[in-house]
Formats: sequence, structure tokens, C-alpha cells
Amino acid sequence: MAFIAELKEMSLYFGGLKANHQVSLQLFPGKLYGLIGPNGAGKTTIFNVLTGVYAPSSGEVRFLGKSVAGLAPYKIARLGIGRTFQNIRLFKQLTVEANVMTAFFSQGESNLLDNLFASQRFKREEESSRKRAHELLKFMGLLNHAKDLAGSLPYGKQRKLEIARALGPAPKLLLLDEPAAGLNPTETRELTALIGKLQQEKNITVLLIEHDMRLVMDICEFIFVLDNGELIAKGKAQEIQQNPQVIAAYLGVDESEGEGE
Amino acid sequence: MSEFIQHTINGLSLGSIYALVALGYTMVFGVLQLINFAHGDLFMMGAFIGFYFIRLIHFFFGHDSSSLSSPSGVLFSMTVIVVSMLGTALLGMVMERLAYRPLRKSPRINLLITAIGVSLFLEYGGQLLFGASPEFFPTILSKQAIALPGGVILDSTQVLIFSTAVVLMLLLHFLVFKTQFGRSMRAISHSLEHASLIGINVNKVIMITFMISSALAGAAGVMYSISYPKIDPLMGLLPGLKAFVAAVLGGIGNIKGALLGATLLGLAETYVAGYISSSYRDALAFLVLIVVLLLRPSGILGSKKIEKV
Amino acid sequence: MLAFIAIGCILNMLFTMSFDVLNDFHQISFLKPMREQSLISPYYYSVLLLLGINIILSTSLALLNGFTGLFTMGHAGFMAIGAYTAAYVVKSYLPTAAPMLQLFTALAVGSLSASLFGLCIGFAGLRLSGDYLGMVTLGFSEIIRVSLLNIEAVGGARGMTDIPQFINLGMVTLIALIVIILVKRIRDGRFGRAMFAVKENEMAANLIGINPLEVKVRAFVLSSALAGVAGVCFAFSEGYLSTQTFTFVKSFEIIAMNVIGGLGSLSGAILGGAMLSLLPEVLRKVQDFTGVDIRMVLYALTMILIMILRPKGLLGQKEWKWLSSPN
Repeated sequence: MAFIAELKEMSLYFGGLKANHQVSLQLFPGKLYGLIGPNGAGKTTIFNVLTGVYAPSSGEVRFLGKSVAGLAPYKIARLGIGRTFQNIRLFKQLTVEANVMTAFFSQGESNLLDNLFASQRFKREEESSRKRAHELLKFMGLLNHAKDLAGSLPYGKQRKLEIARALGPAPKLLLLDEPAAGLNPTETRELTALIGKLQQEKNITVLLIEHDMRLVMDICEFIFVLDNGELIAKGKAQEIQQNPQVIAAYLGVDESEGEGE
Repeated sequence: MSEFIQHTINGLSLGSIYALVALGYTMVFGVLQLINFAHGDLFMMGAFIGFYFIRLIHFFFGHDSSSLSSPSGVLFSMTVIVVSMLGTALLGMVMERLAYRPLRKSPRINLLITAIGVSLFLEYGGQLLFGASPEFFPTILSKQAIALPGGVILDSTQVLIFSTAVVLMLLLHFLVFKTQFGRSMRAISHSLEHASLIGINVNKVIMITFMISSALAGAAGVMYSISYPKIDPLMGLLPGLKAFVAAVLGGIGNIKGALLGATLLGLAETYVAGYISSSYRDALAFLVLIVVLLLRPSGILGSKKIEKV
Repeated sequence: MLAFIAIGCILNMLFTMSFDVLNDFHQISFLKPMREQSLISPYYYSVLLLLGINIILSTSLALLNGFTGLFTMGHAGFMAIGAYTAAYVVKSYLPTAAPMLQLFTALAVGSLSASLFGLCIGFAGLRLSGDYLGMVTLGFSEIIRVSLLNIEAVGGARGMTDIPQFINLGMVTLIALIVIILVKRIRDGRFGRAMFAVKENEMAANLIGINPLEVKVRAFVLSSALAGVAGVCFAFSEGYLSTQTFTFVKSFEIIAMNVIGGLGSLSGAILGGAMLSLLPEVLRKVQDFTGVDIRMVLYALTMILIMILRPKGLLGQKEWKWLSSPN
């Protein structure tokens, strides 16, 4: 089977600071992946490289067979990578449904003149995107909040809304950056179920960063472990749990043993 | 060649006036991230305070034109500058206390609008107080031409302006980099929140910053009026704006940048007026600004902030 | 087109109480200057005219400053370009054409020329963010002003005179209404949503497939075109243009309208525009009382007080019902 996304010996440096070093990983379509590691291990920078926020210093980034290294974020998004953020980045002054509708922007066909003259095409498009937004909100269980301002939602629902928005451009790969951070156990369980559901029903490949190990071990079919900017292990949940390098990285045992060059 | 040197001297003299005003812009921006558009009007107030002080002296002690060229003329000019500085410092303090302090927690654009309001207030208030028609700033120091080799002429007022500006800048340098106040001020420009957490009296430091920057503008106002003696309540607009441009050129918030920007701007203006045409002189500042910002988006000495994702 | 003429006639009749419009319809006399014929005094006529123009300006700036979060300080420059180009073209190429043709040429030329500048400044300035964009736009507008001051073909320092005065109060009101409706439509559509997205979180917008540069350039082009329209209204109603009108002080005034009304709110832009236009006139009464002209001082004080007492502007983010947003 072909990879949907692949990093090949990707390195990212900021001046002398090493964020990622020689990271190689492959994602197969339709699977649910976890990306774990201690704070500052370079997990989010991998997301940033995949989504075009940073161009890698060296190495390859491929998505659907195409090299996307250094491509503008909006272009990569249009190719089909969606993501959420560690610190929620919603458009707080827009309504919940409008937040999702912004994500349809790139698919819009009406032009400025359509908009200015409120043409039929424009009206049809507005209506259909509102309908699609409602479908996504329903999927995430937010439909009754459609007309609320995004900023007025409770924290847990804001996280869900961010996922709904990320689903707007119909991504093939969805990157979730700590989706359960700040959620209570009930909300975490709900979210876990939702992630499983969206991966199955919408057949989206998911890569998630998470510190909640139970969530990761429960739903991720395959796990990558980063430490100090480098990939130190990959495998199924059980393999990872027993991997001495991983244990060392998390427990902070002697660094020289933990690092696998 | 001598023409070039002449232009350079004139440019440095103009640049030193811009520099005094630009320093004020940059210091206030440093502590409050505020573009204090009323700063140019403090420059105007400085000129008028000087003007009325001179009138007052002349009224009580008579007008003795023979003293213009003697050392007492220099002494008198210095006194006028100091009085203006005191006056504008007081004005700056009041301005900060009444208009800007209530907005410490508001969005920055509110501060900006308030600054525009204060600027209009000073301009229209000035028109009310001083009248809208221009006044003639009395001669307090006769222009004595000092001929230098090569036909270059150095004007005594230029010497006064330039040396006063340098002295003020040295004082400022000492204040900002060698004193406790300066350390506090720099801490605030780094982060207002952190500064208050480590026990710096933020309000006091901001107030003093305003007073110093206003005093510098006041001094510049008098110095400007000595060389261009027509003063009116709107005289601060253009020099104020240009000094602001100079501050941005160098990288706003950066004190050395303000000096560099102002010197460059003063020189560029005199060269363009001297060699090309004086009609586009006022546009030049902005042309330079745009070119520099397009090449270096944060100014010549400014540092760039990177958004963290 | 017919609706346009019809509404124009009606509005003008309302303002002027003059019914001869219908008699010589072929000349479309509602386009003629009506200041002298108007029922309301020439003074109120001028005030209302300025009010209309200011509302167009304020609304157009809302697209940039309010919706897209682009801080610009050079709106007067776009207005100047629109006013001068349109006046020059009409005066030199269509001096004797029918007023209707003159009007539409003026509007087209004015908005196109201004938007062309908007496009250039948009591309040049959008690498910059925050205050620096404001400074560059301020610079551009001052360069435009000084250049106009030195171009003899448009009157140079003397100003441009004898511009046909075919835009009257009715027309300005109509144009202002149209501008408000257009801006509302933009705000409520997908472009408007993208603008708000870019304003609130540029990176997040970028990562859901919105090209922030494209959105910003669009906002610039649209906003400058509308500012150009305001310039056209000004030029052809006043009949005289001077660069003194288009200094950075005017740009600041337009920003103040937005902020005082409530930055980000279309209703706020209108309210702020109306307030800052009418305030000096209302304060004229105070002048009768005090005997000195302190109205501009009070005007400045009011500005400061509103900022201190209502930091979010008079309306905040709220909209009036007829301008409410589905987003």
C-alpha cells in the first residue's frame, strides 16, 4: 500500500537549535497514529513541517506522493491536510457555524461580483455551505450551538469545534495537537469516541499528539515516539510500552542510554 | 565638494532636531507600544512656551539687541530651552496622567485614537490660546557666519543647535543606560507585565518617560524656532510626522535607531533639496520610509518577532 | 439602472422639494447642483453632504481596519486619487458630455484608479504587519498628496477648480446607501468570513486553506475603490479640490470614526462617521454661548472621553438590526 504521508530524514533547525533531527516516518491511509514524547521533544514542529508552517532544513516531506516541503500552509491545506492546535485558535468573534464555513473558503466558486450583486450562484453556495457546516456540527455534537459565538463556548466544545473546522476542507490527513488537553475525563472519553468515529466513518488518516497515555494506547493503532527531536521508537501500543528507550525517555534515566543514534 | 560639505552640515543640524523628537517617539513606544501622535504638538508647545518666556523677559527687562551675539545671547538661548523643557515636561506629565493612564488596559488602537484626540486638543487649544495666525519667534541669538576653509559657512545657530542636541542626547544615554530609572524603563519595554511583577513602579516610570520625551520635544521646538522663526499652532504636524518616520526608519522602540534614522533623514532631505528639487522634499521622508520597510520590515536596527505556533 | 435613476430622483425631491425633475427628465436634472435650490439651508446642505461622504469613507475603511484587521493610516490617499483622477478625466475628456455619462465615468474612473493604488499598496505593504503596515500606508498617502501638489495638470498648489458639480445631496445619500449594502454583502459572504478569520488568527486561517495575502489584497482593493467613490462624491459636489483636504489628518479622522463607533462593526462605522461629522456642527451652539470657537477643542475632548469611557466604541461589536450579520 502507498503511504499517504511520509517524512524522510527530515531535520529542522532554528539557528543552532535542533528541533527535529533525521526524522523518518510513514503514514498509511485510513489508520490512526499517535505521536508521543516528553515536552519539547519536537512533536508540534513535526506538525508544523507537515502543514507548511516551517520548511524543513533538510530531508523530504511527501503527501499523496508529492513533495510538499516548504509549500505555503494554505496550499498544503487545500491538498488535504487539516489540523488543530495545542492552544485553541478559533475565530472567536464568528459564530460556531461561521467558523466551520470559513473552512469551505478554498472550495468556493462564487467570485466577488457574485457576492456584491448577491447572485443566484452566490446564494446557492452560501446555503449549501451552511448546510454542510451543520452536518459537520451535528457529527461533532455541536449543532445546538450553531448560532453561538465561538468564543462563548465552554473549553471542551471549543476543542470539538476546532476539529469540526479542520474537517471543513475534507482533509485526507488530520493532525490533532493534544485534543484532550484541558478536558475532564468524561469529555476525554467522548472525544476518544468521536476520533474513532471520524476515522472510521470518514476514512480519514489521523495523527495525534497526546499526553493522555490512556487515550493514545486505547485508540492509536501505531505509535511514534519522539525524544529530543529524534524518533526513538515506533510500533504498536504494547511494543511501545515495553520499549526500554521509551521508558528511559519518559522517566529521564541516563540520557546516553536513552538516545538511539 | 564644499557644497556637499555645506549640505552635510545643514543636514546634520536638521537631523539633530529630528533626533530629539524621534527619541521621544521611540521612548514612549518602547514603554507603551503607543505611537504618540501628540508628540509633534509638544514640539509646538515647546516653541510657544519659549516664545512667551522671551516676551516676558523682554517685557520686564527690556529688549537689548546688543546682547544677541555676546555670550549672554547663548546663555539666554539656553535658559529659554531649559524653561521650555520644564514646561513641556509638565505638559507631558499631565497628558499621560489624564489621557493615557486610564487606558492602560485597553486595546492599543484606543490609545492611538486618544493620542490623535490629544493632538487635536493641543492644536485647536493652541489656536484658541495663541491665535491661528503665525507668530514671529524673536531673535535671541544673532546668526553669525563662521567661515570655514573651502567656502563652507557654519552658522552660529547651527553650532548651538547641534551642540545642545548632542549634550541632551549624552544626558539621555546616561539616563537610559546607567541609572536605575533607565534599567526600569528598559525592563518595561521588554514586558510591562513582568516589570510590574518584579516590583517596578510601572506608572511612575512611564510618567517619567513621558516627561523626558516631552522635554526633548520642547527643546527641539525652541531649537527649530531659532532657525525657522515662523511659529503657529500647527507647526508641529510635519516635523512631528517626519521625526516619527525617522524613529520607524531606525526601528521603533530602539534608541540608537532613532538617532540613526533622524540623521539619515535630515541628511537625505537637505541633499534632495540641494541637488534635486525642494518641492518633493516633504515626500522624501516617506519614500525612504517605504523603501527601508520593504527591505527591512522592522526598521534598520529593529528586531523581528516570530509568531509561535 | 432605472431603479438607480428613480431612487435618485425620489431622494433628491425629498431633499430639495423640487418637482421639476419630472419635467425635463431627458436632461436628468436630478444630477444638477441643488445646493441653491434646496429647501434646507445651504449650511445644512453642506453638513449633510459631508456626512454622506464621511459615512462612505468610514464604511470603506471598516473593510480593512474593522473586518480584516489591517491597520492602515492612508485612507485619505485613496480618496485623493479617486477625486483627482475622476475630476481630471471628466474635465479634460468629457467637459460637455451628458451629466449621466459624466457621473458614471467619474465613478468608474475614481473607483478603478483608487483600487489600482490599493492593489499596489496591498502587494507592497502586506509583507508588513501591525503598526508597520500603518506607517507604510501613511507614507504612500503623503507621497500621493505631495505629488498631486506638484502636478500642474491638476492645479498643483492652487488646487483644481471648475469641476462640474453634478453630484448633489440626493446622489450622495444614494451612493452611501449602496456602499453600505455592498459592504454588508461582502461582510456576510465567504470573503467576509475569510477576512474575519485572517483578522482573528491569520495562522489558523492559513491552515484551513485561506491564502491570507489574497484576502488582504482583496480587502485593500475593495476598500480603496470605495474610498475612491467617496473622493468622486467630494470632487463633484464641492467643485474644487485642494491637497489640503487629503492630509494624514483626514486619514486619522476616518480611523477615529471606526474606533469611536466600534471597530469591527459596520453599524459602528456608520455611527462613528455620523458622529464625527455632526459633532462640530452641534458644538457650534456652544460657540454661540461661549463666544469663542472652542468647538474643535471640545470635539477633541469628546474623542478622548469616548475612548476612556467606552473603550470598545459606542457600539462595540454590536450591529443594528438591519445590518445584523448571519456570521
